[in-house]
Amino acid sequence: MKITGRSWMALALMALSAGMFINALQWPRSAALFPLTIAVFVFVLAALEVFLALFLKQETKETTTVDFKMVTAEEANIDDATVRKRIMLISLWVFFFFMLILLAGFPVAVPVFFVLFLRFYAKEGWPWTLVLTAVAWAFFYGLFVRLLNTPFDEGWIMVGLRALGLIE
Amino acid sequence: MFDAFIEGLFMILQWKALLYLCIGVVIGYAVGVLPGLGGGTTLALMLPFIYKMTPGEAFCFLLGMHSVVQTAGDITSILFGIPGEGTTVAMIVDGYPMSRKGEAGRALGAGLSASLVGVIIGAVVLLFSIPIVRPLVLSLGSPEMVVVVILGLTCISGLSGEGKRALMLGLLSAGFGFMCCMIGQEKQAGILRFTFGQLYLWNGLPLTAVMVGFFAFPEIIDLAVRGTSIAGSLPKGDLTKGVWDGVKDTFRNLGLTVRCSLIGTGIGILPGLGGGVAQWLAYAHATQSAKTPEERARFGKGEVRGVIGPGASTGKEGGALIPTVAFGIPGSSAMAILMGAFLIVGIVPGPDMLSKHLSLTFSFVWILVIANILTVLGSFLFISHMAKLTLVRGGIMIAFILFLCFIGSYADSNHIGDVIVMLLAGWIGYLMVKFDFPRAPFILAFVLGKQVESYYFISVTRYGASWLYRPKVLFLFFLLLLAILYPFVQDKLRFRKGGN
Repeated sequence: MKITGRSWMALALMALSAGMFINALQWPRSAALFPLTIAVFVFVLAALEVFLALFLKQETKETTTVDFKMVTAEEANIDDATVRKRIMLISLWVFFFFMLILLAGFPVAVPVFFVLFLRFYAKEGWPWTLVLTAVAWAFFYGLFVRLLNTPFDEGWIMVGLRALGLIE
Repeated sequence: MFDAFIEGLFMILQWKALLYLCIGVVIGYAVGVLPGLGGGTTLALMLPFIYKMTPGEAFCFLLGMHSVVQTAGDITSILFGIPGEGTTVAMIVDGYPMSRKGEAGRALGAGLSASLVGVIIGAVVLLFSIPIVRPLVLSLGSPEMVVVVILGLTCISGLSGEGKRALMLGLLSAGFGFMCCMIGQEKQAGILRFTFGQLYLWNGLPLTAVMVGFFAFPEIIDLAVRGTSIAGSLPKGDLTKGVWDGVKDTFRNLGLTVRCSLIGTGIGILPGLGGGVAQWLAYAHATQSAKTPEERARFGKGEVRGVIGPGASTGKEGGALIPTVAFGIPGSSAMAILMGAFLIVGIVPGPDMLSKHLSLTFSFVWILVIANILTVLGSFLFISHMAKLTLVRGGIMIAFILFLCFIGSYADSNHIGDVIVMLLAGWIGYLMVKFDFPRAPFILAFVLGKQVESYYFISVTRYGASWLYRPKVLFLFFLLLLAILYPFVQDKLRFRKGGN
């Protein structure tokens, strides 16, 4: 008996559908009809998936999806630890970009992220880093700021400084 | 109807629409050539750009882009033996050996011209199917539409995986998609569902942010894990030699080209089968066309008919538009995203497309044809330059894809909440890919959810339980049963063949 990642996902879906069912019972019929139907459907299927994974013998033919396939450690000629390290690293960069946007706003975050990411993650030389940053920023500024007039928040740092009366 | 057909042409001949078509074609071409970027991903990334466009301009941009992705993807498959798109794998079987034999130009000429013929045939089928499907669509009521959607989702679920539990996983994904689309204010009674006191969630989860995260994130992580450029090492040489021989090959095998185009169109009409299936079936048909064992033995070793067959399967582009436009049932995840575009520009796919928006529907036929003519002509001119994009280092690609993800999802409604939703959707998408939950059923259910709920509510309120016994509904349930049983029957047949 082994709980795989897929079983955990099925368990999570069971919990979600159960929560949906309980909530839907309190709604009027028009709002509850579809959620109740779907919640029962998902709960039964998820429970079946968990049951099959836990209590039945191993699948004779592995279930696979006709979808995008992530590269495996073997295919990339690297070990599992390196795969995990690279996933962790890119996740941290994504989180860093998000925090940068929250703190400084898009107009500052875009060039800062490009410079840091290209220089320290992609290990590009300074000339390429600066050229590509300029291209990205020109695209951002030209299309979103000038052409589309997209309103961007200025970020928590500026809001904080303004609240403290340090800037106008 | 002829007036609407001509009006459709004039709709895209306006300078602004034509400009957007050209931009879409260039982007679609670049995306098709790049193996790391999927057509669906780019379609999702480009959704925020259509807000200020008219419906005609928006579809020139998006459909023009989408319709050339496979044609361009074939180029990467032929030149580098790497599928430019997930749907262009069959092209590698004979295309890449031709490249290795120094016949890359001939393979490209044959593949591209067959692709153009395929798209034109698909577009013609779309054109002539409109008057036929019109009465059929108008005769379907809400109960039938509920079952048609369930049927489509079941087909997609069954075919989006292999193995006994694939259908179940697909249906689970679809169920999860339905659950996610229920977030927000309910239409009938105005009840707030799963909004957790957040005003932001009243309108439900943003379509663009969910799709961008869902499709782009697993590809970003994949690029990061590989740590290389998208294509890796490339064979060098004169890529343009023998192009015209390939074009002549297509017209020498015109019968095969037309048959493979029709196979592609047929597969495109059926929800859930998709381009990959169309290419493989067309390839299988091309191998069947060999008259002698010696001819047959040449397939897989650089036979030009093995390139023409998969190339011509692009007829599926026209075919896939038929259920999307006429029934509001997208035949693939890319069509589901395109359907999101319909909603963004204020058009509801379905019967209205065959009456109120008929000229827009006809403009799709023209977009498919003109976009692909532009692509094939452009390919012949710039093919060697475009190929170099696959050598762009992975780190640079990741930076630009990430930037597009963040800005694309934010620009949807200028709310940071969309970026958070995009990140969450990205991680869910990554987990689904990692644990073999197919993403296509989720996306389709998420897009169709509100419509299905509405049809379901009307059916139950209007007919009670008797909606289940209507003749058309019973017939559709019979088809649904076949769709459920299909994977099991297929497994049994394979087992028997293996046993023999």
